[in-house]
Amino acid sequence: MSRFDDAAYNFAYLDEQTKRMIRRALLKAVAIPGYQVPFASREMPMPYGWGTGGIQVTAAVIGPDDVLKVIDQGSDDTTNAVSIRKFFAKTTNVKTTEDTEKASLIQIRHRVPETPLKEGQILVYQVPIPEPLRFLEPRETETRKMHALEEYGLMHVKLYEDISRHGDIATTYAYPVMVGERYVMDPSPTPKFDNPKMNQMPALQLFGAGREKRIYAIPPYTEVKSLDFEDYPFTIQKWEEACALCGETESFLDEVILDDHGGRMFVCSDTHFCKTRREQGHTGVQSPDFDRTSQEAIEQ
Amino acid sequence: MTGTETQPLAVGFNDKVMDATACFRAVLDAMSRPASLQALPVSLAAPRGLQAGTVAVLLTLADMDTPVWLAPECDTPEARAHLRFHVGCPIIDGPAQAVFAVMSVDRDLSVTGELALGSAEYPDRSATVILESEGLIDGEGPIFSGPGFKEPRRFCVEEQPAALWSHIAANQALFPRGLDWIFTSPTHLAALPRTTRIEV
Ligand SMILES: [Zn+2]
Repeated sequence: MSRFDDAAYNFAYLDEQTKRMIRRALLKAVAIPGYQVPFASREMPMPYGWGTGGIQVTAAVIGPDDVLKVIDQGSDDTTNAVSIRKFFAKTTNVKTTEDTEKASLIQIRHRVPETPLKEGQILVYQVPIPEPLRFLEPRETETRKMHALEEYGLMHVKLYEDISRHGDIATTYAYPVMVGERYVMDPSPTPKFDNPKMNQMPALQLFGAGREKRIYAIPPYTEVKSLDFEDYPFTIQKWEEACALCGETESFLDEVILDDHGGRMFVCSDTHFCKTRREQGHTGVQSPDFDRTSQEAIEQ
Repeated sequence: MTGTETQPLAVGFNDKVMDATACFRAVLDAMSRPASLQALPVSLAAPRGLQAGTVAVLLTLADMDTPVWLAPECDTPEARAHLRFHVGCPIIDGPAQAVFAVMSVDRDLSVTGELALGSAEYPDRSATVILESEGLIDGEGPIFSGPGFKEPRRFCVEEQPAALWSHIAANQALFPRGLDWIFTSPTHLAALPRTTRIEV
């Protein structure tokens, strides 16, 4: 990105005509929750895998008073998250933060923050494949027709087969949801652990798929229901362990390999959430000052 | 701008980039939280025929790719000149091809029947109607609910015709096709996307 002269591009990089086009698409997306609005995705100064759809949505929305947070897999510190944060810090001069509560605009990839989101916040999802019916039907004209006619029967059958054959681990990520009782939507490659957070969320949720040129949205306080079945009700991932660093039992955990001898631990994937808990004095089995007696008391 | 004594053209955005950004956030807020009043974040001159709220919306969202239709009560030479110069949008003679249609809220709204409603495959290819009024009133009028509402909200416009809400309710029944509505006044805007339910 250093090849760009600071003065050579517009606020938030995109030109105004492109922003207007994206803004119009965003408004239609909000007006038709869960429906994928086509848009003329632009080249961005980073590769597609880096979330150019999310970046374009953020660029069309961001204002000088925003406080931006960017996470990738729950972490503010991955190369992807750092690059996007720097890109916007440079092209907009906005404040950035790792604190979910202080952020007004949060761009995410693969995780929704553990800290509940508030009214007035905007969540931007980076989406690689926006079409939840793609695995059933590769042709765009056909999936469009299926959405138009609410032909979701085949989708249910396939999901049912997967779950009944492989158990509920079969579809752990990008688990399809029904938005506002009308459109089946792909929540992006977030774990299904995060699906319940999307339901009736006070924040506005926007989704951008750059390569596939689609924008979609969920307005605040909108019903988002994970597809499920009477004999296989929707459940989220659960762990036997608590976070090894902060002791949290309700968060999404990542497995971390500690050594070559099979040593491993589970820690919160939301790094800022975990750090905040540790600062508040919470401890886990790997903490130097871990209190085993209180942990045993919890377990009993 | 040219230094001539008479400047019939009112000025547009002070800061094209930042004013458009601020106005977009107001419209996005309005559409995400339907029936909530949003103060215009910028002060704007409006040509005869158009409300400042309308000018803000069009400056923010319209351009050469979006044909705009002005109903006769809004269609003044000043409005046309203003939009041509500051927005650069085509101003078309009939509503059928309009992406944005501007009209006064107290008119006969049956003309909106000629606007694009989108198709079943592409419901986004529908017009947005900008309804102008002298004032938007918070907390009175019909009860609105649907996506974007934690609790139902009420709002109405000054001097609203009796048929307004039943007209909009008929459009909402077409979901996912249908028009989206932006209400403008000299100082505020509000919106009702096609998802909003209306209880008169
Ligand atoms: Zn933790």
